[in-house]
Amino acid sequence: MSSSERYMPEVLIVGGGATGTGIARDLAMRGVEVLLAEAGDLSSGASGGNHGMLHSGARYAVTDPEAARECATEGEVLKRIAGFCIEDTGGLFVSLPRDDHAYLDRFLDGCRGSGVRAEEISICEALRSEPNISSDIAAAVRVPDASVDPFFLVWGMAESAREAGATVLTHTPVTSLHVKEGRIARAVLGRGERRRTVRPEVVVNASGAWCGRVAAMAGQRIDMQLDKGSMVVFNGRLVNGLVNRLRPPADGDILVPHRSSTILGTTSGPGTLEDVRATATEVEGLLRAATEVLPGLSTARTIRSYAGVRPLLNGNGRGRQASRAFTVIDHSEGGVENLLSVAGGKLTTCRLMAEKASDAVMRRLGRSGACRTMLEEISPPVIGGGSFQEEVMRRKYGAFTGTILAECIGSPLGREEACSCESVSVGELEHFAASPDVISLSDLMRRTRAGMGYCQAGLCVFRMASALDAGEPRREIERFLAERWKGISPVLRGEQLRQEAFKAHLFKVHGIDHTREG
Amino acid sequence: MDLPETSCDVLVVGNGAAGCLASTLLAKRGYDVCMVSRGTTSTSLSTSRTSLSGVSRRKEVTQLLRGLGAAYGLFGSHPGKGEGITSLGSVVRQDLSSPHDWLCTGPERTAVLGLKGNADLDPDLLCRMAGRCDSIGECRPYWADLGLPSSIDAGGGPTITRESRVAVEELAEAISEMDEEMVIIPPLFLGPRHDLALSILERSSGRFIREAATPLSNPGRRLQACLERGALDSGCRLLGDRQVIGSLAQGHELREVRIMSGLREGTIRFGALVLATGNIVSGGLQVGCDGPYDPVFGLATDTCSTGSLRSPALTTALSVGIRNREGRAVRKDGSVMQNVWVAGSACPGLSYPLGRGLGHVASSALTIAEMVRGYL
Repeated sequence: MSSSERYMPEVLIVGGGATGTGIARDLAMRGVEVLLAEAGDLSSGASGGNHGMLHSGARYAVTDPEAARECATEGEVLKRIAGFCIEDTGGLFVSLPRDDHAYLDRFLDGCRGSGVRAEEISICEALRSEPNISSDIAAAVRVPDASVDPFFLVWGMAESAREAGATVLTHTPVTSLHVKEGRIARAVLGRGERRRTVRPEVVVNASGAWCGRVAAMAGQRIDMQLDKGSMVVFNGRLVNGLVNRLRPPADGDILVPHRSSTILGTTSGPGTLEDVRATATEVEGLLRAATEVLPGLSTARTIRSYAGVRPLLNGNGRGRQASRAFTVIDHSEGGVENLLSVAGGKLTTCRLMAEKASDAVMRRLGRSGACRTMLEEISPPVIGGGSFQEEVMRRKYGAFTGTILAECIGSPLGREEACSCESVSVGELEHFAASPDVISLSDLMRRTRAGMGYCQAGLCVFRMASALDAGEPRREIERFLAERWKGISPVLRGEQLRQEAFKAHLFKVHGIDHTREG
Repeated sequence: MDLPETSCDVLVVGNGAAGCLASTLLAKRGYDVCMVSRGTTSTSLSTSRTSLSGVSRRKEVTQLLRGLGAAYGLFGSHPGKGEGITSLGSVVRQDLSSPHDWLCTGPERTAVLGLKGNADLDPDLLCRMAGRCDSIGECRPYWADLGLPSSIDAGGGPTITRESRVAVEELAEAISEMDEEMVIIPPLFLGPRHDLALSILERSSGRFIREAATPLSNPGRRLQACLERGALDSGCRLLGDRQVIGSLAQGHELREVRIMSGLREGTIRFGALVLATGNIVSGGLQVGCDGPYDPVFGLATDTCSTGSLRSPALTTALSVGIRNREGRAVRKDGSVMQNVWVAGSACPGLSYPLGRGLGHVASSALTIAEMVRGYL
């Protein structure tokens, strides 16, 4: 894309996470000219560093009824419009004998009050649907939780926004916002050759954890509370649906079956913007807590750990107590009339946040247009047909499969498997590597899942590098492996230690130390 | 159902480089040797490149490897300092090379031929990497879509197989369009005559044909096949798909081991035992939460710090091996097992990738074989 290309958007959206891409999709579908600028890659913040859980609202039924109600409705909407990246596995809340039994009634009351479809089931039935959980459980409640792949949800929303006419630019940071006479007159995007100036009528700050920083460019202050949550990924599906602990929210409460793995989370503690990672202590704590519910967990194979930062607003309580509701902040009171910030919220409510923010934008633009995001599908769930490989791809890319499929199945090379952990073909890698959005191996991984499996890019990294055709392949490979290693080192034991030893063996031949960071 | 009961003079556990070489040396001396194999070895996943730097008994090691490699087209060149080039353009030390290894030899212009569907060599990637390395001459990438499989058996007879002859012809045709005097191809050919297939390709194309070092691919399989053939030819018995699951000791000597194959179990009696199980990668040791341990024999483990990796945890796991006193395995209580020896990678510091490769493994096999003979 040449830097001489001129953009004249009505609305500039800062941030390419679930909120930003959601707003871009919403506004574009209402006929607004939007430009979304993301400093890194899509879902590189909290939208990528979360549990991959589509809340039924049950988790917040007691502590945060408003968030629970929003999750209950929005969860169902997302299942309808983004079925391709959601597995409607259902979930269980189970309590152990030592947990507070009075909580069960409060929980069921809370669910009823917030419209969450919760149903108490017998212990036998719970053990039948989840044979791996402890037979000591004292109570079980079935809820409509689901598992969502956030990378694909955000990518799907970005593509859907583009189809509706939006411009989405990744790796394009907003470098300055110039305020003149009480409004943002112009914004400078990108650096060096890619630098350009835009003069939007409204700027929407949807930068999640970076909201405070972006607002500060326009002289505005948002009091953010960064709350880190860490997660552990296990090989294979250890549970059939989501398994939650029925008690007031605490660490290591939730197990989510996710694609080829199971994710255990989370923790809650002060976070930072840079170098977000899980520590070995957090991993140990998570494992200890979750072993009570799933006794075999301590011997299961851990693949990696990761962490994300919840962009919470200060003043709504701390950490776990903080409200998960979202706020659209109008900065006209602070003296900038065309800046809106969206903060707080959850992945599950991203569409609703986008709708509310877009309504505010429309009012500011003085235009009308109804929200259509809950009616039009991002990509319908696609069922069956074709070869096994085609079906795997349809389940992954939904309706976007068409063009990729033509490239993959078209040639023998394209059909070749590049990443066997996640069943990614060479054709898929080449298709996404050709996209201007993808400049690093991490970007390529987020699009295709290559490198996310149990070998953690041990065998596919060279094929990924070869598809990406980066200027400095070795440095790119090292950078990518270092990023993987950050997540692996806190869980280094058992089978994964063997895997990493094998990788060391393999990489030594190429003179690469995959355990080297930075 | 039980496996037939077996007895032998020497039981060698593990069929990687250390196991094969120890078996060969002992069987040649007339002992009844049994070698049990569990599955894939690190040797078969290696690049087959061999460095002799710092190897003791260098002359004997050279003689041993060249002798075994002769029938397989391996290690044929005169030992000397050489540097091989990997499929990513990095350089590995290599003393015992074969005529078709891609070595740093001069500033020839080089063509790198990638075959579509063959993941061993990506010419674009290699050429860009090589462009940054001063010791490698100018490289130019080519791609060809010949529909060839990624390994082709060149056979072991006086001539190469028909399948490989067809492949050679197709490759020669693709190469005829290039200007460069040296052409790098992915390691395609397997079997003792793989070098003959490459020589024929050189003759028919008029170019020097070389292979880049690629791990997890045919070079390792060739080396494994070559060493295993050596052991079998010298009279050793190979019992495949067997895992050692238990052992019976009498005082300070081990008398028998229980082995398992699928659902069947059996017993092997022996006079002496050589543990050539490698480290955790190949499955000799298990890794628990507290670190690596030996699950079968109750032997003590040792670590050494020859590591070059940044991660201390991984370095420890990799450099761990069964503790030995002058080659004999040491139990957890500190006593020495009189008839159990540790060969090759299981010795601390020899485990690849922290160890120093085939040269050292061969040297260890020579020493252990002599000790076992002394005992028997």
